Amino acid sequence: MEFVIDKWVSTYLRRPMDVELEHILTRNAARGLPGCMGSIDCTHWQWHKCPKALSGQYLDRKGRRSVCFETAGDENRKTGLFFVGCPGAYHDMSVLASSPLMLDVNTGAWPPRTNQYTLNGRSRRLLFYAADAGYPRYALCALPHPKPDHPKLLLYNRLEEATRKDAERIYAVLWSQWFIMKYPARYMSVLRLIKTAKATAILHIMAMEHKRKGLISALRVSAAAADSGQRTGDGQSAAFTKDAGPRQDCVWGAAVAAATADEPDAADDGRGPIVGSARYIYMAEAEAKNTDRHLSLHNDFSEHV
Amino acid sequence: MEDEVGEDELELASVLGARACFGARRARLDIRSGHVRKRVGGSRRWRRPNRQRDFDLGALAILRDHVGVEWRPPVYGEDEFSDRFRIPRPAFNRLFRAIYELPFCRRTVNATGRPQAHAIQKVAAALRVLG
Repeated sequence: MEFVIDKWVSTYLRRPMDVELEHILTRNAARGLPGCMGSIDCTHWQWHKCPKALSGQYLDRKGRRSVCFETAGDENRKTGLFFVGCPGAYHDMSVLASSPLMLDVNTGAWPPRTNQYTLNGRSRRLLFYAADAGYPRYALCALPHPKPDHPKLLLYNRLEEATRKDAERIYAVLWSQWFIMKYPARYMSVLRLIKTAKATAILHIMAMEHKRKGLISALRVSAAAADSGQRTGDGQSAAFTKDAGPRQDCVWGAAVAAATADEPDAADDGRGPIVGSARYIYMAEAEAKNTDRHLSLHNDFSEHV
Repeated sequence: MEDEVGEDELELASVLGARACFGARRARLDIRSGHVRKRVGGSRRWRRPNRQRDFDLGALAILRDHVGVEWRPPVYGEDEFSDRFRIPRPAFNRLFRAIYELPFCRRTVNATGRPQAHAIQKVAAALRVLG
């Protein structure tokens, strides 16, 4: 199991690369949510043999001991994030706060700011996840509107719900396919739980890739086709455009690896904050967690649909 | 995978050699340290006898059922393969090819001095636990 994880975790449980991300964006724009890069959700895996010492920490809201795991996935049930091992007492919000995704968001390494999309006449650069109502009001997450009192908002909620179900489908399929995830876990340590869950997710994606012949390559080809069609067609109908460059005082840049983030960006000529600098990180965090942006996202969506 | 079945005699020879080596080494160490080994559990009188498990037969059965030996087609088809192991055959082959040379999957000698399970048995067992 350790071998499976070591060998394939970087292949199968990774963030979508640029080409795949473009495909996801195109698909989600066709489904009514431009700028949505997948859906995010948490679920619990009951832990039968939880040690007494940990039982308070791992007590979930249904009164059972469980381990929480968080998944961000796209339409093809391909997980972009798989984070296991949070204590069951955590809610969606606190799992997100402790997940490796949030670390990257805070440093501005994720999501990539190079894709620009237009909503209600406003252009945005920050991509978002479709999430359910348990998530915090960040600009990173598109929650359903709490009180939809308008047909437009109702429609938005409907679309958002349809996209959000991707993550739920991942769990449903994972459980029906791998029974060890369905039944209470009988391991004594969290580490083995994490290993098992990761190995299962990797094997699942591997099996899926072989079942649908050449799924990954098909994704890439269709994304390339969509891209070339966009270039030839008019710019107005495109779901998103590649951003030309940074403007004054804004967070901009591709997804930065942790190693390269430390080096000063030579190409940057003072137009925006240097990628990886403290100011950049501060701005990225503020932008991703902005509540006003989140609320205006709601408004724009209700006008957009 | 068919190659493995052909190497049975070779493996048996290496197993016997290893067994003899271990036994001789243990006896030499005991003589040198001058203590009499106290036998704990294991195979002795009035204990449950060792089972003569035939791991070769088990591995052969897996191969016969799902891969096919001696140019005969496998007993079970693709659907049953993915029902049993939860992953389709190409994925299984890929997994097996990546895994079977690991130290864990290499054939060892167990405490009764007989060869342990094959790599394919270990992979199949792991998948059966997961799925």
